[in-house]
Amino acid sequence: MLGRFSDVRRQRRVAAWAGSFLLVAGLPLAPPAAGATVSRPEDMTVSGKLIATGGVTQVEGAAGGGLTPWAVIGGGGTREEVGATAFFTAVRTHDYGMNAYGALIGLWDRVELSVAQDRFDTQAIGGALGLGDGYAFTNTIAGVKVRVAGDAVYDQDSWLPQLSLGAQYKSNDRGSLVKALGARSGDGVDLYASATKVLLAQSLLLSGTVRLTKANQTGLLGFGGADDDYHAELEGSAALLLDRNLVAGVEYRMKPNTLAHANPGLAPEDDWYDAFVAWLPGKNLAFTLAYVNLGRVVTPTRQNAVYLSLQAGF
Amino acid sequence: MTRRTAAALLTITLAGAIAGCASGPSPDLYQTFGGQPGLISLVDDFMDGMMRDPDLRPYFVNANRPHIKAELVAQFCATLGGPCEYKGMDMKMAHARYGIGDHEFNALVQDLQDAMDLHRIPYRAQNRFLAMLAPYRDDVVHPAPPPRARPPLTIAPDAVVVPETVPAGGLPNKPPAR
Repeated sequence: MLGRFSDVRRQRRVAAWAGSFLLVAGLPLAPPAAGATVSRPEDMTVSGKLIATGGVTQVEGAAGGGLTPWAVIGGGGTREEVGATAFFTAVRTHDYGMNAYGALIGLWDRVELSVAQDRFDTQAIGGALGLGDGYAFTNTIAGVKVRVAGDAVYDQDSWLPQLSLGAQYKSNDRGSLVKALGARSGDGVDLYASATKVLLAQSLLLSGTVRLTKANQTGLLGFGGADDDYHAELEGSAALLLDRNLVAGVEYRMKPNTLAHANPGLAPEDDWYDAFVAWLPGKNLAFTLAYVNLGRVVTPTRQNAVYLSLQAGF
Repeated sequence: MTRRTAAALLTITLAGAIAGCASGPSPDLYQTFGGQPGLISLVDDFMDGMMRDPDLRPYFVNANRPHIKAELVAQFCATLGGPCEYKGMDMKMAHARYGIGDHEFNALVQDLQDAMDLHRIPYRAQNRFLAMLAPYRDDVVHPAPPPRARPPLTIAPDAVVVPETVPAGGLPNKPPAR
């Protein structure tokens, strides 16, 4: 359906260009006698962004790495196009499982709108806590991101990164339970600013994000705890472009630790980090495999996770 | 402990990437591209690729391609740090009237990457080159003028027939001359 939208835009744009698809232009390098015409193909439906420059999708649904958003606008659309992607991510630790899925639409390389759902399955731990085996928390996330300056890929003559501002509204379906655990609310909004730069001559991508958040474990355990204040947390990615279809890197995401202060029965919340490899066999497809360290989640055991993600789009 | 590990990983990645690779033009980079014979062959394949690309073919099909190729060789040579000087048309002037968009510019970049792959130019050297070309996007990509401001078609589309110098299927791929 979104593809159709893009088609329609293209067709309208092309149709708007005079009654004919043939567009006039004299080629400047041609001799004057050889006045020429340039006809735009009418079926330019495949979006035109360079491969990998829309990133993959992070667990909350924004275009980025696996854990943290990047300043890039997701989808394959350039400044004249609309693009979209859908993703499915599975994270498996020894004790827990999480599945995330969602979709985003990128408008004119300027605005990104996303929705995602993260389902956190407590498996046997849920039973041990008296919630029942396989008790699950589901977080529904609606996100918006706006590119405010720069171009991560093309501004190679300056150090200015691409800068974006974003917000993520999150709603937890276990509001009363997370409040019983010590959280202040089952809903919350994260605000973030991201800066992303591709240092092309070094085949390197760097990205940093500052996030203002009240979320416990990204909101899977509600929002707020000992306090109900926003905490500024840093997130970052560094990735090497190994070839046109292969990117490998590391990520880090700091998290507030307010719920454990409100409820000493819970283990402290740790920062997350990962090492990932993303394979992008075509413009429209990406597979990501990662090792993620989630630290302590509710129990004192450290959770090492395998992370697998598939993204498809246009 | 976890923070230190991550910081160390980041530092290693960064140091490795930056130390391992210089940037900017250099005679080494020019030699990586095979010098003048390498560039001529590369630009031949680049133009063949663009002629096969439905997004770009319309811009070149009626153009003086041998001239454009010579200009590209001179420009690439100068950009890479070779013993050349680009004396061609200002990039902004040369492209202003076409209403070239991001879509077309990215298509050109991909065709250039394909040609460099064909010539087995290492990916990192390709990126060093592309980093120097990237700022040209601002000279080449212009929003198209509104339709009403465009001049009327003054010449029939088939009024000029330029001999096809490139066969429809493209030339057989040649290995780079070294």
